Parts: sequence; C-alpha cells; structure tokens
Amino acid sequence: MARRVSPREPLVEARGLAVRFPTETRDALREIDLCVGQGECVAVLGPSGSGKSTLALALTGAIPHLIAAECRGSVHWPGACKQPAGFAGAGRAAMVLQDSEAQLVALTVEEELAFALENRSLPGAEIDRRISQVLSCPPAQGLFAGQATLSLSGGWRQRLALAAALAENPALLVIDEPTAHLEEGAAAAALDAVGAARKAGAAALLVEHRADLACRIADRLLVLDRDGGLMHLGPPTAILPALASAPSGLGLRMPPEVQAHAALRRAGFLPAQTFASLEELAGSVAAACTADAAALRLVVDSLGLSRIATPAVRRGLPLIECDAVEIERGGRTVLGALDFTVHAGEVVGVAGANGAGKTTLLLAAAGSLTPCRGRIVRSGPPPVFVPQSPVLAFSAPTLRQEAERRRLDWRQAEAALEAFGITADPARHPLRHSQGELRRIALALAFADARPRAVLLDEPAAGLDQNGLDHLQRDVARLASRGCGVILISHDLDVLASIASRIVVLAHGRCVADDHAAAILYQAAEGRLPIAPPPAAALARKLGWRGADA
Amino acid sequence: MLEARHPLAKLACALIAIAVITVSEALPVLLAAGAATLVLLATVRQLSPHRLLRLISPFVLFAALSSWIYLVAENPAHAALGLPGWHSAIIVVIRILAIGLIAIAFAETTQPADLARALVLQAHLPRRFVYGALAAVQFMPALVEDYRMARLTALSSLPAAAPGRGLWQRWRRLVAGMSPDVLVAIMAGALRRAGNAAVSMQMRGLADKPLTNTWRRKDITAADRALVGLTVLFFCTAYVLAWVFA
Repeated sequence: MARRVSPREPLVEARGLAVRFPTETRDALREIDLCVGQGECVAVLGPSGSGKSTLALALTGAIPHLIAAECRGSVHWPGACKQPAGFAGAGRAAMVLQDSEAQLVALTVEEELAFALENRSLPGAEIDRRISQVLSCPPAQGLFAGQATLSLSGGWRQRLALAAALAENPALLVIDEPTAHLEEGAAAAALDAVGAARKAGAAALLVEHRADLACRIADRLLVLDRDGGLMHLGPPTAILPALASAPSGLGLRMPPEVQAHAALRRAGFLPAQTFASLEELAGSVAAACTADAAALRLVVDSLGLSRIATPAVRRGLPLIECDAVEIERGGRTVLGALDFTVHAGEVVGVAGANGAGKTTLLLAAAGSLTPCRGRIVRSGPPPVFVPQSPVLAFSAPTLRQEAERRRLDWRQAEAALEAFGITADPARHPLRHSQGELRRIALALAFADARPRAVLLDEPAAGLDQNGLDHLQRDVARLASRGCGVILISHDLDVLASIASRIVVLAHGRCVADDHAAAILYQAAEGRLPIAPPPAAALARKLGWRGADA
Repeated sequence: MLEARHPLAKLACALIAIAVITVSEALPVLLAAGAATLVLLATVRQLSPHRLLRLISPFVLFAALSSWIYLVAENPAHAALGLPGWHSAIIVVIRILAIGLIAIAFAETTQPADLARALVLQAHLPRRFVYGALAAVQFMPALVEDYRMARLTALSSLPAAAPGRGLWQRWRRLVAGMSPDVLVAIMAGALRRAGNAAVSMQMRGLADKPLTNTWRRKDITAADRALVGLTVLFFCTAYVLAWVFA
C-alpha cells in the first residue's frame, strides 16, 4: 500500500467529467477530476449505483464511443494519437467487464487470449509468445491452450477474461469488480495477477466495493458518493481510517486492520496517529491486543466475530433431510454421500470453492435434481428456490399473476412485498424490476405464505455491497423467524458467517465440514479447511482469537 | 486428413454437395452423396457409431416430421411422373439425412475459429459480422444453461409425483418451465449478454479495417483445390452413372 509516492507521468486525465445516460434525469457521474499516472493503481470504491463502472468506461473512451451517453468535461490521454476509426483509449486500455463471462468470444483458451492481439495485427510469433507467457502465471495458470472455454466454471472464465486483458500488455488495465464471483483464495490470486501486471509497468484502475481487497494493491483510493460525486481521493492510509472512524453509509467492506484500529482508538487503547502502511497499522493493533486481553475482546467484537460466536440455534421440525445423497452429471459424481438436514427456523450456509457442487446441492434439496443414490425427504409445501439470476424464478407476466401462480392471495402478497420494501404494482412485469428487487420479491412471496417452508438461495450476495448484505441479512432473519428453513450458498465465507448460524463446507462434491459459523471461521483461519479464511477471521486468529471460546 | 484442409475449401465442397442434393431428384445421386459422407466420417474421421447417432438424431427427427405427409398426400410433381407417394417421402428423408451428414462432416473437421479467420482474411467478409456470429455460437450453451436453470426452478415449485395422482403430476413436471414468459426472461438475458460482448469486442480492437497479421493463417493449397475438384467430379460421375443405369 502506498508503495510509490513519487510524482508520475500522467497516463490519462479526466477533468470535470460528468456522464448522463439517455432517458435518465440525473447525472450518473458528477464533475470528477482524476489523473492516473503511469504504473499507478487507483481503486474506485463506492456503493452500488454510485457510477464506479461508468467512470471506468468513460476513462477508456467506451463511453460515449461505444455506449451512448452525454459526457461533459474531458478525458485526455497524453501521448495518444486519436485514431480516426477509434478512440484515444483504444489499444492503450484493456478492460475486464463486470459481467466478464459475457466478454468471452472464442471457443478455446488460446483463441480467446489471441483475440485482441490478432485485432491489433501483432506478428504471429509475438502472439504465440504472449499466450505462453500469460498461461504460465496467475491468473491463467492451470488453464491450457486448447481447453474449451465452454467447459470452464464461472470462476475460471473470470480468470480467463483477466488473463486476456493482461495479454494485451495494456498501459492501463481496467477491471470492474474482479472478485465478485471468486472465493477468497481465487480473489487474492486475481489481485496478485494485477500486481504482476503493474510490475511490468501497467497502470491499473480497479473498481471494487471491497475496500479490504482493493487497498492491498492500490496506491490511491477514489471514493464516490451515492450520487456519483467525488468524496475522497488519496492514499489508503489517509482515507480508510477516516472512513472507518465515521459511519459513511457507503456500504464498503473495510480492511479488518482498519476496523480494529478504529475501535481500539475510540476506546482509548491506541492514540490517534497516522500510518504509512496497513502492516504498520496491523502491528499497532497486535501490540495493543498482546498488552491487554480487553483490547482483543474489543477487536473480536468490532470485527463482528463475537456475534457469530454465539448463534441463536432454534431448531424446529426437519424441512429437508438428505440421506447419503449422490448426484451424477455427465457420468461424473458432482455430489457424493451427502447427509444434510435443514430444520424450520434454521439458516444454513453452504460454502466451497468455485465448482465444489454448491448449486447442485441446492437443486437436489429443491427437488429439481433426482439423486442417483440415497434419498431426500421434504416436509411442508414445495420449497422456494431463487437462482443466482433471479429473473429465472419468475414465469408470469405480472406480479399479481406471479402471486396467484404461487397460490397466494394478492392482499397477502402485497403486504409482504411492502414489508420487504417493494412498492407493489400488481400489473407490472417482473422483468421491469432490478435483479436485487427481484430477489427481494421472491423472498417476500415466500414470506407471504404462512406455512413454514424451505427457502433456497443461490449466491444471493454476489455483487452486493455492504448495505445490500445488511438488507439480505435482515430479510433472511425475517424468513427464519416465520419458521422457514433457509439454505444459502456463497463463495464468500464472511457473508455466510454474517447470515447463517450453521455452515456446511463442500470440496469436490463432498461435505468436509458441518458446524456452527464461528467454528467454521476458526477452522478456516487455522488452515484446516479447503477454503481461504475471510480477512477478519485471519487477522483475529493472528491476534489470539480462539473461535467460539473467545 | 480433412482437418488439415482449408476451411473455405471444405465450405465450398459442402455448399456444392448441399446445392446438388437440394435440386436433385435422382435417388442414386442422393444415396451416393450420403454413403460417401458416411464412409468419410467412419473411416477418415473415425467417428464412433454412438456419436454419429447422437449428432444425426435431430436430422432424423426433422426428416420424419417432413416426409410423412407424402405418404398420405401425393407430391404433384412426382405424381405427374407416375411415381408413388412413398417415393417422394424417401427422397425427402434421404435428402435431409445426406445434408445432415455433410453438415456433421464439416462441423467435425473444422475449427470455428479457423473458419472465422478464413472468412475474414480470404473471403473478405466483415469482421464484425463473422466474430459476432462466432460469439453467438459461444452464447448458445449459456442460453441452454439458463433454460435448464429456469426449468429446474419451475420444477422446485412442484410437489413430487405421488401415488394415485402420478400421471397428472408427471405431466406438470414434464412441461415445467415451458412458458413464453420464461423464454422472454431468457431472451432478455441473451440481449444483455450480447450488448456486453459487443462492447467488449470493440474495446478489444474489433473493427472492420482489414487485418494484416498472419497468426494461424492458412493459405489455400493445391490439395484444397483438388478436394473441391474431386467433389465436383464425384457428383458428375454419380449423375452419369445414374443416367446410364436408369
């Protein structure tokens, strides 16, 4: 963090940049001044809808050249000659979009890596050299040239998109939420790859809502407010403590060191002082915790671990019972010998690396997949399954008909929708709601049915900022209080621990751990599980946290 | 052997064969085209019977759906020649299966990326059109996966088939997710993906200006020309023999 403080040659400059999309009545981005230096890494942080992606697209020139929008102010690439058929950023900036899966166009890994290089008319030998180079290091290490892109899991496809951008050797690497669909270990590997590109001289613009990950590699943070205005711009050590000490409502996930330091400072364990790096900050926190056990308790509390350590387990009747369930797909066992029960009023998280069998487990529990061995017993009405893309959960042309399809009285459904913060318009097509709203509508309709049932959520937290996660946590707790048994899956152990009382960890289709959330976090922090620990648990463990016994 | 041939040469052969099969009414010519392609797939490409059956099954279904009508209603063109209805049905079946076999042979021996490159570099088709089509191929499995997930979601809301009411519930499970609104949701997702892909491809340098690089570029050789010549010769011979023995 803040590794380079020397002034840099400007690579791209935005002055008074404002963007407004057609049909919108307000600016998505307001009066942004930013200069990204050569080889510098700037992380753009902010809540959902604050204009982070818009800023990234405008800096590369994709807005307004490829995506129609009204732009005011200027974006200038010093030293770039404007091509008649293109735009200044073309060829100098490589971008990985938020929906990185949609940007893969070729059928093999090698062709995907070569796509931009061919378009730039590089010599054949140079294209081959770059492909071998990219395949030999993260994030593409583990892929092979002839591998079919269609056979890759979501996480690997995201890595491939990043590798294809790195192969371009861009002057500016723009990455929009690179960690949104990756588990902690893969996310760290992706950020390491960005770090490697910087060593090769590239600048990076990283769009993230996870400040804890972004500040690992960023020289400067740019924080946008809800209205797309510039809130902070500066080195992480200056900005993060300020954000941690006063609630900003921005929905950023802060680095645990910063959270812990702010808590200790507020309680008088540490004096107010400035730091040059996060390591120094962590050192100061560690010293305070070693000197005083009360400081450690305070740190564990500030990281939200004490709340996790005392789960309120209130089990009702079993809603779903899996007994030695095995599921095969394409002749391959994707779920093996699974014993698993969910009770009414219980919230169970399912964690695991990309491709561990989490969604298969959920589909089997939903009754959509039939096990080839073992049995699944479901009690109560059919479960509510909300897929990762919640659009697919709706099959009626209006909200009223959707409620009727689920055998709900509209007045009942309307009351539940309002309780979940959705303005209910019975004649509105479900697709006219945002993805987040659709997920909440699905949960609200499950809540409207008075009978206890199982509610199954596939990656409900993907792409949500901290505010969105808080909403999700409240919604799930409300369902559990109604007697629903909730299973939710996520690649993010931190998210699961904040929502679920119990966590099941899968690896290669098998259950490797099934325990209460605090115990799972502690085991992960100790390295006893095949899943990387969340930063907060890892820090607490280093400081002396002992899981549920702390 | 066929894999090494230039994609445009194979495309030319396939188009010649399909054109001849489409206009020809001579049963021996259609049979010869189908049999020759089958022999190529079995010997040169060494396609297993199981895989061949899987690939040809959509064409078999299409052939069955398209030909039965001639068994109950005569084709006027054939009736004028005094040919029975079943003759028309057989011609339609063999024509569809022969075209299917040729399409399989082409797809099995040609890398889509090589074909795209050849269409851009040698056939001078617009790059945006060719790579757009290639990206659309890439989206098909994603659309299938979306449909699978929509169907599984719809299935989850149905009770399991119970004794006594099994038939009705089995029917509901069979048609779960088959509603126009599910298709609208899937198409909305496809449009969003296509938009993202278009932006990404242009940011990665896709434009209509001519390419100058030579990565994986294949030149058309004498062997490729010979392959096209052999195809033409094959159909000429088949026609002559069919006429002689008629």
